Amino acid sequence: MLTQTPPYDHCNFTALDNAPEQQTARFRELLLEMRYDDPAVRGLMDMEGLKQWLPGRTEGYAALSRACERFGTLDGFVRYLTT
Amino acid sequence: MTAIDVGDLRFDEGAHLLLGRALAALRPGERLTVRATASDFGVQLRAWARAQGHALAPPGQPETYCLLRGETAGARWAGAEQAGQAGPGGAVEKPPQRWGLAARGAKVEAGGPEFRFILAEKSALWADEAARLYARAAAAQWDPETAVPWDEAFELPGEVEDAVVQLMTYLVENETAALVVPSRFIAQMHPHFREVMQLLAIQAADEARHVEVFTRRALLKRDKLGLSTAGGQLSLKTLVDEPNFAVSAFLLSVMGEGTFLTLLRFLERHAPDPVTRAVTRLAASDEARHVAFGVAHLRESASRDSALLERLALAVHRRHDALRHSAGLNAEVFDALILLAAGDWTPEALRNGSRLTARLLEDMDQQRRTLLERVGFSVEAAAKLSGLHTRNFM
Repeated sequence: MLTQTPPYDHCNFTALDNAPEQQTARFRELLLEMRYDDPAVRGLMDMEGLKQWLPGRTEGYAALSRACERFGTLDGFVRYLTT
Repeated sequence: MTAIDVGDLRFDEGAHLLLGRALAALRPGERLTVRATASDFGVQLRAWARAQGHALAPPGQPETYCLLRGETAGARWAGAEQAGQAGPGGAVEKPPQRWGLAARGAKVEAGGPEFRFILAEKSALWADEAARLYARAAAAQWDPETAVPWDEAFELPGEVEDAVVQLMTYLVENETAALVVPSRFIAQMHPHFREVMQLLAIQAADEARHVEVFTRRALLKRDKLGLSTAGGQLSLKTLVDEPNFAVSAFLLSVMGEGTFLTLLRFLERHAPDPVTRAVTRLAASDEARHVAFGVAHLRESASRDSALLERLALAVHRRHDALRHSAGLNAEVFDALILLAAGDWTPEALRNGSRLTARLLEDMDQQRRTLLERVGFSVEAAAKLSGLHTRNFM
């Protein structure tokens, strides 16, 4: 290990700009209401490796994003998707 | 504040166990300070803490980390249930299907799958004696290879050897029924009733050995087995088809194996060779346990359920009617019994063999009556039901 970036969230939900606002808000509300002590949703949270959903934040991705651009890490993948 | 020092122990070397142990003693929000010198400790710690629901406070000094115990750390066990008590008295009356395969007495996480065990009520299958009988059965397992004197030299007259082969063929068929029937119920039984499940499993294992030794005795001097009749199979099929556990236990273990116990002891007494004597003796000692469980289970069930005896009696009548037009016992089997009891072909010996075989039938009847009375039937009812038992013995 040569160096470390600051921590960033391992996943998030990204909605398109034109996504219906009301439904998106409701979806967010439902996620934030999920509790780990509820057996009905615990299996899903276990699969996602989390105990709780938190409001989204994207700041942590900046370093990752810069690194991808600099090294072209995702270029091949993007080409694969678009051709 | 609690502090631990894990030295240079890395996360993948077990440092997480030390952290987990220290955090378990804290309340949510309380702080644990960890000193650790492994170079990647911080990276690993962050990922672990996140997955466990603990928060990480900003680092203070180098090689020192601060964890705040999370709210959700024990949340998995909210709503968990204790599945009865582990001991023999700890089985509950109706264990929920969601306890599934969990060990009795274990703490079961909420949200597990619903199983579909058909036999899930204690009153329908429990016997206090099951644990003791299982322990006895486990201690009494014998090795077919060493328990039977396979190499002992003997030579029987041709017809006597044929008679033994025919009897062994018949025994294998019947013991196969006695293997298949409890096996099916094991899979239907809620595993909460551990002792009963174990006992049935070891009964099936007993029968597997019986099938083995009877087959091996049949093939000791011959390369073919004997005859299997439609009537015999029809009689056994009524056992295999019986869907009710109590009725099945009654017909198989009390009526059938009860009768078989007398038969096996008769065969042991009149065995013409040491191998036949050994295999029938060993099988009889196992069957005695099967009968003991059948009687204990049904006696306990009948004491709780006053209508049970009536249902059992009805089942005997039903089976009798189903078999009314079948031949029952294989004639070759019956003749083989006479010949073994006779010992040779002189008229006097055959007369004696016939007398002994007739006496065998009386002993079987007496044995069934005794068992029926132990289950709870009156002397009169026991006599009547015994008389309706299948002529195929099992």
